[in-house]
Amino acid sequence: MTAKKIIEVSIKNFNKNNKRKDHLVYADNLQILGPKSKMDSLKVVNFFIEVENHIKKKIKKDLNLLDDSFFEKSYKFKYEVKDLEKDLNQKLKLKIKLK
Amino acid sequence: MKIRKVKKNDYLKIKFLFKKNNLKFYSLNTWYNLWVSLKLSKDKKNSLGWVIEYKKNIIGHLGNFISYYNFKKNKIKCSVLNGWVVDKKYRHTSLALIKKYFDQKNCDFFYGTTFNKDTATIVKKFSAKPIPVNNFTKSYYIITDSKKVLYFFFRKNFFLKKLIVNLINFFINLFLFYKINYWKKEIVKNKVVLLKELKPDLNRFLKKYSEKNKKLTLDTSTFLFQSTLKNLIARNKIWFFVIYEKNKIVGCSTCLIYKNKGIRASLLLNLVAENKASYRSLIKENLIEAEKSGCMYLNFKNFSQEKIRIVENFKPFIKNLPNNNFYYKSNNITLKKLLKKHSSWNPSNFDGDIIFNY
Repeated sequence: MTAKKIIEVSIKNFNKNNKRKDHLVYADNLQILGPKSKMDSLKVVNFFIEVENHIKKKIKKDLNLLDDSFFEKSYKFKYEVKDLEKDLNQKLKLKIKLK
Repeated sequence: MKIRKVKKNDYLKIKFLFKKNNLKFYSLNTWYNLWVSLKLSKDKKNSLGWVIEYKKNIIGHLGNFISYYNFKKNKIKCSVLNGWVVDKKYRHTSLALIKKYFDQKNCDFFYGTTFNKDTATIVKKFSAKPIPVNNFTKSYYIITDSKKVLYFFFRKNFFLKKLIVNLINFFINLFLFYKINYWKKEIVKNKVVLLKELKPDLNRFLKKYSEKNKKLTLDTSTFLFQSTLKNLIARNKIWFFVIYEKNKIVGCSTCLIYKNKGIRASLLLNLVAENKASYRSLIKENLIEAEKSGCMYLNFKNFSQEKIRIVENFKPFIKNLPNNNFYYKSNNITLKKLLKKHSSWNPSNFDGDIIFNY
């Protein structure tokens, strides 16, 4: 399962639990954090929980997306779906290597 | 947009941020005490929290202060989270504030009280755990003046208000007489003394209680806590009851008077005793004092299960408190194991920043 697929499914699940006005539409430049982001902290956390749960279910790996690297990137400028995709690929590769 | 440590002269800007979000910030006196306490700690790493600044305005704040707890003859340093507020437009930045808080390395554990469902979800993501005491979502009330309770519900003025209130009160007393007056049946078996000032014996007793019962109990001898209590005493807002046996303290309680929407009420802040009979005596004496002081009720919340069970013997009225979760986190492996046990906790309204809000 690719990082892109994981994010797409997580967005779908996230939308199921949120009002229509808060729905996300998959795009590389969709801002998770940043001036154009629709999400507040709670929604960001809930979205990341969705992604982490999906990874746990499908790949059987425990990941924490709210780590130092996320905060380093996100509060300088913005954090977009493509950054998340990159982070996911890196973290999943590292987990497999460590195994 | 930048995140920085709170400065002493941020008070008005933070207060404005709170007001904009329909919240009340600490009094200037409490703010001053927090800064004196920080200076006394002499630990340069300590901070009174962080703010997010944008175009010279403060758009977010997360407060932090240090409390000490006694636990098994050790003094434990606790970082207390308070006043976490971010302007609606910038709410996505609140994660940065909580990250700063949990990144602190110089404390044994993190502790925050009265989280709502949303903030609880966020702190849980940072590995914070709810304290293993499961009756925090209920608040218990024993009515000491039913007419005042009615005036609380009928705050607006209307034609023949006094007559209608008297009439309803008559019927309430007719149907609920047994429940409302049940507490009056309790017989006090101990020698209970009312104090309106602070005594060092009380701190010693609480420390001993913590050591003997292996429970995490707030160190009430710190400057911050003592100055807060002294301020409440000066404003006639607090009283203490102490039980002596053979000239030794075996139980004590602290009760606070406050105004709930303009009507006098009381809240039991702390309740510690060595046996069930002493607990019952303390509760009864506090109820008598609450009645004498003109309070509509005495409120019990944020206590352990064993204490609440004793309160339940007085047939209180119960209200749900959905936004009242207490969370903690510890990076210390030994402490983490101990805090998982519900028997390690001795929660009260002395915890967190509850007492600063009055």
